[in-house]
Amino acid sequence: MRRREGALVPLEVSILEAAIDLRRRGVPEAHGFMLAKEMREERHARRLTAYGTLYKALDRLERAGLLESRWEDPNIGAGEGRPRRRFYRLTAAGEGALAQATDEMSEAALPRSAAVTVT
Amino acid sequence: MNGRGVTALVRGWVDLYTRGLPPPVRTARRDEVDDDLWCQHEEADAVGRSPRSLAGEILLRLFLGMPADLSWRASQGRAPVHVPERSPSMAARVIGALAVIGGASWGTMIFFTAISNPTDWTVTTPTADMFLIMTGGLGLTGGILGPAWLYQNEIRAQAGLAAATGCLGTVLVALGAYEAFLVVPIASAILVWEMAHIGVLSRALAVVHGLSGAAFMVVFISSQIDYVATLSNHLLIALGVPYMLSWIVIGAVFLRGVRAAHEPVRGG
Repeated sequence: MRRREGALVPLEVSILEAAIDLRRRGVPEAHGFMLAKEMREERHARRLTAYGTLYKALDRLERAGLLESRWEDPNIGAGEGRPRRRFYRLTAAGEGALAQATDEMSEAALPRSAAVTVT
Repeated sequence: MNGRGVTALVRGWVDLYTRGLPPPVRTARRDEVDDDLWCQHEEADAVGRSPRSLAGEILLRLFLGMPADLSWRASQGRAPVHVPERSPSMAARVIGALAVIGGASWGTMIFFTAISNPTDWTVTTPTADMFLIMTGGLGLTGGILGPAWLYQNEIRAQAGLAAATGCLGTVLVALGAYEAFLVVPIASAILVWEMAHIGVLSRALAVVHGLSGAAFMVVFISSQIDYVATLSNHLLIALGVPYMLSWIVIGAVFLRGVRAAHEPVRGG
């Protein structure tokens, strides 16, 4: 199925939602694994999003200006004995896109609910 | 496979599908996946997860993400190919002019022989004939020797030897020893192929040059067997023209500009 230009796919919506939830909990920026873990918990899933799927989606969201990223100081990672880390932060455009996507999803669900109510 | 093995597998896969991308993009993807793997191992240790279960999840995340990896890779395109700057230096211009003169002179001679069908190689007058032989010999000597000299630090020994042999052949032809022409197409084919190998000329041009040289050899050998029969065969004579045309094209490439020769590496 071809995606609509500028439309968010469910995974991208989940990433943005995870970023918002983390921010609400005082984590303004998150790395890939943290986002994947947050999504797993939100969706009560058994496994984490696949590497390729996750990082491709993050790349697309960043290109679209919905997320912004920065690489942490490599000395921090080296000090902790781990690879350097890339942090993603939700942008205002990302927040707007998420709100719009949520509205669209609610609108799409509304007639069906109405139909259910009528019958 | 244990956790370490599947981690190496993921890294190998990342290395594979990011191959050919600009180094910053490649490194970024590799580091990002590396950090993810590190976090996954940390989490598994924290919750006391078995290595087998962890390896299974890593494998699953790897395989399920492969289509997205490939699609991401395709969207990145190829790494920009480094195109060396090409400029018509004075040396390249001289080589180009000589190759054009050489190809045009000997090409003219062959062409007029083909259309006028004389009983010998004389085009119009002995003076014109001598002029074309001399200018052709001089031109192709420069056309063969010039590139070998200009790229002397880059070409292989056999190409240098071919250039010297070809050069000797063109000089001997200009002096009247026409049999010496036998070595010229062979030598020039080796040299032009070498020029393509080091990125000065295109491979297509080297192939055309080699094939047209082989066709010219057919004419030449035929003429050595039966001189008059060869000269009376227009089609056969016409086979010699493409080789000279390929020299004109090579000359035009040099006139337009070829990449600069690499400086020799000096020892400390």
